[in-house]
Amino acid sequence: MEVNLGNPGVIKVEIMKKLFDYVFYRVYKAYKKKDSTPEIYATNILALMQFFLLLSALAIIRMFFDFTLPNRIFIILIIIFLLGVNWYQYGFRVDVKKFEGQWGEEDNTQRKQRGWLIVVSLISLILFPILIGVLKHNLGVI
Amino acid sequence: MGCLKLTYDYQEQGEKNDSLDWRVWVNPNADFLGVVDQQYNGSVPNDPTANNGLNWTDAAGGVISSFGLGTDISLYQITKGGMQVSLASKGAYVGAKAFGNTLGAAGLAITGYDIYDQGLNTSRTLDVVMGGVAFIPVVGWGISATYFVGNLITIGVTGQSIGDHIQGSLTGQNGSQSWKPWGN
Repeated sequence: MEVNLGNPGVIKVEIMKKLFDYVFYRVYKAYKKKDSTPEIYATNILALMQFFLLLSALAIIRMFFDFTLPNRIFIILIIIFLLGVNWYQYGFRVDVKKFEGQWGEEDNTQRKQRGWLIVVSLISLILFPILIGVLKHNLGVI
Repeated sequence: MGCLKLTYDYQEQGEKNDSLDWRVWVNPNADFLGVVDQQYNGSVPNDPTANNGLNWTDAAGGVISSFGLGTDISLYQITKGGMQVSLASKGAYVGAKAFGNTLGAAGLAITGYDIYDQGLNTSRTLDVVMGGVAFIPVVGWGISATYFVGNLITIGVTGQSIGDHIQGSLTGQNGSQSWKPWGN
């Protein structure tokens, strides 16, 4: 009997998309209580998270395989690309009601745990490359 | 769902020195849902064609056809406090907020890369803090945008950032260098 398990690449992209949708939704909901335009904050925080995820991955790879960092202009282009893609995907045309239907009735304990996970992940992702930079260039210990 | 005020200015249509206001319900996509009421403003306060015998379908049809014909209708959003805010002003405010917050996010991302590549100094620390400030609700985007625009102007005029000047004045050395707590 042949079982179709689907395309693993497509499944991974779908999981990532769902994860980004969830982060957007939670940040949107958190800012909605305090600001009239929560989509601005949610979109940019998601783009920041994606950028620092890439930068952290780069920092980990460079620990084992040393190579020259790409030009700063290239990094700026990546940042503009990420901000642009997220604004296109979430800032201009997102339907929050769809996410509300998916995660609106989430269990309270699970919601709190996932909320903390998002906060800790974001702070860790930002601090990790900064810490590597300080240890390497300021303190000279690695 | 929100409430919008539409003003039809007769004077601009060359008819009268009067205007007719509608308050209508719209959803977040600005789709028209229905008329709340209408108010005639002018020399004939009780104009029977304006205030009396309101037919929602006719009024809605009038609003929609006015949109379709491209007549001069000014849009206002009626806030919870009862204030009327011009949608054009609101659009400019939201645009400035989006720009300020995006500038803060981009600044934070570029500075994160710079610290990873070259280490920490006063300028990059200030940039990280101000990038973070952009995400404080309501006022943060303004503070952050002011800092980043001011910093760009400072770099353009003096060749050094605000943080470089602060570090330079404190240590008497080149402010763009990374801090070295011991040795070099």
